[in-house]
Amino acid sequence: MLAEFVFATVSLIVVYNPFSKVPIFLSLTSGMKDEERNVVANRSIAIAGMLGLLAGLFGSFLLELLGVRLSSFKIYGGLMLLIFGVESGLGISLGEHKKSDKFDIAAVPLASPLLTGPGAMSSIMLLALNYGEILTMAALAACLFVCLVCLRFSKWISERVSEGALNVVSRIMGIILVAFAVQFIMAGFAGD
Amino acid sequence: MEPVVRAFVALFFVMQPFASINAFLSLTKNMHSRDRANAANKAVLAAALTLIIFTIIGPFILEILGVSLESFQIAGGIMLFLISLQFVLGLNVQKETPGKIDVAVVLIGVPLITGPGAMTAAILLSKTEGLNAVIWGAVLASLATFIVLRYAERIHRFIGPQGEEIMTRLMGLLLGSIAMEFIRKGFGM
Repeated sequence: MLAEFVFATVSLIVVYNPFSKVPIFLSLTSGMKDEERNVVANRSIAIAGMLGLLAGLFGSFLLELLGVRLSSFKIYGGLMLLIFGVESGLGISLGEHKKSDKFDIAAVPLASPLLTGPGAMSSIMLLALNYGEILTMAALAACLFVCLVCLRFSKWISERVSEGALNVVSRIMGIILVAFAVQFIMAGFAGD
Repeated sequence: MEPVVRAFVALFFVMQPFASINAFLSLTKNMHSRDRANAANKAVLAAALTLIIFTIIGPFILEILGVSLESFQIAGGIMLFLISLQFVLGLNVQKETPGKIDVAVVLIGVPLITGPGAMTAAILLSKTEGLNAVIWGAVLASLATFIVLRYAERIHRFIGPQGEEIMTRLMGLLLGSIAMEFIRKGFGM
């Protein structure tokens, strides 16, 4: 049981990739005071958690109800991650993004797609299928805790790491995300 | 029963009423609640009628044009996929935003940003679930959309813009997955 929990938690941390979110989080909260920043961090984790919870508990049910195979969801999730990864990796924007106001950024883009994006949701659903809802939710909680710590300490991190370095990390993460996305998509096509 | 449920849920997701709440509230800001209710009535009624008419006529048009079901599944799936991008990533692939003036027009425009989407979905669903199920599904989905718009204010106060964001996201995600299914079915996968 413990082994499975650890595995699930680590998988989620890899998918959520909180370390890569630090530069983005910082740039999104650039003008803010520390308390405001903390509020945004708390909120985005809360929302990400909510999304993850809903996905884990109802995701498979809804997909089945709609007659959608999990593999199709994986392909779709992969495509979302792909678009997102390309945008982060190349530092471009593929279309007009919605404008969000100050606290909204906790929801978009932070909570989703940055944190609990379609890839994370697919992973959560898969874990729930394989290991059961309870263990998955516990792993999710642990993972989100790590994410929260990363976000809350982002200022601390940025004071010790140069901005250039953070940027590079962000770009590299974008590329890795694209590779990850492709893997997801291929898994979707192979599955079922 | 099940086909109706599937049609209802799919169409409801395509209509994305939670995404419309914001627009609806800001547009009807200065109206009395009675006028606001009227606006909601008009918009949803128009949307529902258009949807049903199209569901019935659509397949005929496709047949006359010699478009195969599979081709339409792929094309329709791609359309729905692009529309879902708007809800999941906030990525707007449409160049124009709907005009601002007439409330009814925009409301018809906003639930029907997915207009092409809803109609596409309706036609696709009529082939997989049957015409009957889709008509019932459209009626139910319109009803549900109507209820959401009618209680927009209360809902907005309860779940807030972030709650709406979450709902929109989730529905967009499912919409995109439905789109993926159609594309795969079209290719025979």
